[in-house]
Amino acid sequence: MNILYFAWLKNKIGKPFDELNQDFDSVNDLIDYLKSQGENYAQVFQDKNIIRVAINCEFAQMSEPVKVGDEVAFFPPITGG
Amino acid sequence: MLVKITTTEIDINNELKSLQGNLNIGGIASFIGTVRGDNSLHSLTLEHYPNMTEKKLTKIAQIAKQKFSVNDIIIIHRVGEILIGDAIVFVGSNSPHRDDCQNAVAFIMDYLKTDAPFWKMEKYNNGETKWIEQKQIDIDKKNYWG
Repeated sequence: MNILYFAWLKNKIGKPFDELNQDFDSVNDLIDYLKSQGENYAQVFQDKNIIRVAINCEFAQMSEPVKVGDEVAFFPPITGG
Repeated sequence: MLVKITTTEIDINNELKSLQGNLNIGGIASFIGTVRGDNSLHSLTLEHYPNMTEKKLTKIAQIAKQKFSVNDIIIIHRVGEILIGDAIVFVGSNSPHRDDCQNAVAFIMDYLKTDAPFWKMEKYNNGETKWIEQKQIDIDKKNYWG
């Protein structure tokens, strides 16, 4: 699974993506795993209310499962235009 | 229909011209979003999620085409560093009657602001940077369309 980070999440984590060879029952579970990977991850995912997630380029809920082969993107609320 | 992401300056005149010239066109509407300057701002940097951006913009344009009687739609969004006064986004449409192209452009902009994965970072003259936060008014404007 490719995990992508955008905007301030990418800055704080210090890299644009991670790769994981593991399924998770939910995005919430994936976040819990990522939070255990270092203080920078723990800080970024401290408040899930200010983070949005997309699975394979579609907006998703934190309760949705993610599996090997998925592209999971984490980013802040959108501010384009 | 044209959806494009670009790192270079948007040629507004060229895009407007391309919306002219069909027998069934009675009007052209457009919106150009530009970098609003003040005394402290140097530039904006636009970041995006390439795969998802094109997909979402195309979907928004397709919905607008179904919803309004328009002939054509153009969406061009710039990414990278953009200086004060330069265009960030161009949305244009043409239609037999003016209401349809005007409403299509407004609809596209309201959806683009909340559904297309772009993020703006402000860079100030003193070198500091700050990511812009989403505004409630942008969510309200999208919800207006139901």
